[in-house]
Amino acid sequence: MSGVTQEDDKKPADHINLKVKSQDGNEVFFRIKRSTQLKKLMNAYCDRQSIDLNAIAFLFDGRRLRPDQTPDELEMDEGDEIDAMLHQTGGSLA
Amino acid sequence: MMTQQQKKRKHEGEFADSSYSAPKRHKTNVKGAVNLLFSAAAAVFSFLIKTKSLLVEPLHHKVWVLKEYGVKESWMPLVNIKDPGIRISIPKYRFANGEVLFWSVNDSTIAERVGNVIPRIFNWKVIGIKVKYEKFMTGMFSMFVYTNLRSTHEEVQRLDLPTIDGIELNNDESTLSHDTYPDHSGKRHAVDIYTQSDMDHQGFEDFSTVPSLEILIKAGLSTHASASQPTKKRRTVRFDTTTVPMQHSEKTPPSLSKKKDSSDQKWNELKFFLQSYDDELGGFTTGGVSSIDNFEEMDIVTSLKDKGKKDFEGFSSDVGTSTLYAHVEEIVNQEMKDIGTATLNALVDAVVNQNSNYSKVQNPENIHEDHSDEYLSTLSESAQLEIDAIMQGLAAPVDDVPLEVVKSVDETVNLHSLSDSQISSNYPDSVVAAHLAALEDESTEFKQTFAFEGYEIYDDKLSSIIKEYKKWVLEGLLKFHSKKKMNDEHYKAKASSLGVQQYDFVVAHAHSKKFFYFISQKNSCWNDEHIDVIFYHLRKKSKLWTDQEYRFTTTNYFFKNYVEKTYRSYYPNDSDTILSTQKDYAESVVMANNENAVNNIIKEFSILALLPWHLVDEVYVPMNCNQNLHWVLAVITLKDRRIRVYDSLSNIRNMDSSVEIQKLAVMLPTFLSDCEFFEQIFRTDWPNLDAYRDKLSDTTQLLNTNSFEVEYVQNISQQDCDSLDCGVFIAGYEEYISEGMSVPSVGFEVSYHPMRYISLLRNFDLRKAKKDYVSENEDSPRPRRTKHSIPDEMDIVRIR
Repeated sequence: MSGVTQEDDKKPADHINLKVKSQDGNEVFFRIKRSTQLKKLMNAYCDRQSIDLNAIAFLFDGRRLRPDQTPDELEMDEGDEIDAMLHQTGGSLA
Repeated sequence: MMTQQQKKRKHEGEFADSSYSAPKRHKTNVKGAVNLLFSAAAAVFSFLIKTKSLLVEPLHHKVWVLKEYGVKESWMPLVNIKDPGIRISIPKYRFANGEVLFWSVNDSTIAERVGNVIPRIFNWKVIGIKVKYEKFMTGMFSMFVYTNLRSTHEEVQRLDLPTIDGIELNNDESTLSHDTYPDHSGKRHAVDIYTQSDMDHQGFEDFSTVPSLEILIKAGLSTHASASQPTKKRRTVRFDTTTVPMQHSEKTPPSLSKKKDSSDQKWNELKFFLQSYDDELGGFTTGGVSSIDNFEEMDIVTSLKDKGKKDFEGFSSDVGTSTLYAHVEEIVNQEMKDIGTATLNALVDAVVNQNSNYSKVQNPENIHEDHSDEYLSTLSESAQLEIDAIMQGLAAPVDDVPLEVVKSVDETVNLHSLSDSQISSNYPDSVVAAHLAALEDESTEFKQTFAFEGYEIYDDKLSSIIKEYKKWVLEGLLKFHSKKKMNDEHYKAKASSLGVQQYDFVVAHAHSKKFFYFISQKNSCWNDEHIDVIFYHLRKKSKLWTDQEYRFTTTNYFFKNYVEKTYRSYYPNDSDTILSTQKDYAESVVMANNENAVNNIIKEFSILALLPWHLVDEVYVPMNCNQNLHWVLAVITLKDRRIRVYDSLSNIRNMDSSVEIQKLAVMLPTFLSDCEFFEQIFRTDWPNLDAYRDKLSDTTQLLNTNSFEVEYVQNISQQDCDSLDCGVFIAGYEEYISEGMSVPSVGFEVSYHPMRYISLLRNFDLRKAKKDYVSENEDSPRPRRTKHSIPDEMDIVRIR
């Protein structure tokens, strides 16, 4: 019974909203469980944006996120922003 | 290995010869255990015979039970049968009362020659006549036994082990000591349920490739047809007392905490042995081997070694004797190269003859091939020396072995002074890592605060680190097939471990050696991760060296992105000028975001180890130019209001084509004034500098029109025009400039520097991980939270 009410609750305490911002400035909001691995978020984002997961670096506070990290681990707060940056390569064939 | 196989074949041959007509039946009363097993609702239950077919003791059979089907940790030793008369025992039938009927073939020929294998020193010795059973039921289901399978809290913390739900961690320090002990106690006969079963549990780790019962039976029965294949199979299950603990220890690396008391105890033992050795010495000659002498001799060696190996813990007295003898065997094998075969043969004979209980000498070749390296690597140098000395004394036909040997034990035992080559590839990586860390600490006393400290770019004292790194990176390097996924199990199985779970370069993570290999290769396109990692460390250099006159900071790679986006919103292309109001608004939001990001960077937020720009002289910006295919280094000289561009391809690139640099030059004044840079004058009085004096007020619509000057630095080392090394070059430039040196015009060794960077990075991270002395807490404060309205519920992607 209690489970049902919790689901009805708009913002359960164990969920947070995270913002993923692309380098174009596009923003996608995600609600994710604090204990869920960010892999899910990354996959969901890439699916939505139709980009390859390997083409993107997810950065939080300048650190690259590992797929196995969780918001809890990173001490993320409600509304925190994750940057989704395209990888850049410098090979320099002029 | 050869020995093993040949022996197996021999085995099977005999098996066939003796024919199936004379089966001997053994009834083993394993009632209690089996009943328990079945009542414990183990859905599937299977037996496995592990034939401990050692050279001298081929008659050791162990029955294992898979308590829970499919869970390899649940392999339990059920019963241990020692019967010189049995070759293969197979559980044929389980009676209702729990008794198990074993079927085996009696073979009267017990002792035999192995054959022409090298070393040809061991004869088979089988002395035992009576069947012996060791039962493990007592320990089988007790909590105590199980605790040994678990990691301790300490291990979990140190090694970042994954925790498995529902499994408690082991709190018992005393049992841990058995885990860490390279266990040789399997050679014991004494029925010591505690240690025996304990040891056996370590053996479970080896059971990933346990073949099915059918295969085993087949292997045992179909002797002619499948000589090679089942042998091979069985070799994987073979209960090898040396392999198993070694492999086990790879998984749970020994705790390196030294237990002084145990080594003291050993020291006492050593004294005792030396004394007796001294007594026996007179009658000792090499040729006419007195077995007692040899034994004492070996004991000395053993105890010496024990002294050296301080990490041998839990040296409880009940295990003591047998382990010592186990060591004897090890040493015999290990030192085989050093002493003459004859001597060794005699030695071994002596050992074997001395007591049937001690006669179970390991297959020597096996040890040699598989374990001597591992063994060596844990052996301290001084202990090694001592052993050498003793063995030399053994081999030489002298009456009086000098006793200086004893003295040298007093030396500080240095666990780490072995060369890297002594560390075998399959030695527990974490141990190696710790070892290396300690090794380096001996040579470099200072504490590194960033990876390149103490190893300046113009120095070349790196050779050892690079050498070590090269060796490391190529070992089991995983080269992925481009079409295969990283998580392909097939690849994973062959992947070599990194030594630690992963290398955390703070801004990025290395999951596999590929990361390292890639950086260190010449002609590899560095991507943002590589650049960021290196620039992060250079940033730390400036952040932590607060006493420097000249200060700088760096940005990360996407600073350039922000600049570009902001630029585009200020100077939209002609085609973009006509915007719908809505789009206009969206654009402005985006622009605000980007600008915010730039501001955060300038004010030292959001990038790790950043210094605010008003506190530095120069800012190094890695810029990805030329449609994102070329790294150049832009140095913002704030005092001169100038951007210096270091381009490793400047002599073949058209200078004016760097749009990206131009955008930075245009945007910088605006950025700076936006984030109140010019008001932060306590280090540098920015507005009163000549470069800025007249240019601050010159704005049109909030936009400062006086762009920074751009200077393309000439006469710097250039990359080959067909190479892909620009990443290394900008890192190198950066380092030279940060040292206050001018970039050399020639002689940038493009194959050396990537190697230098990556081996230093690895070196640093290893030390960091092991010694824990480097604080990574110089994090920048979090950026101010930008107030963003949570969109409608509909817009939120829910992840379940």
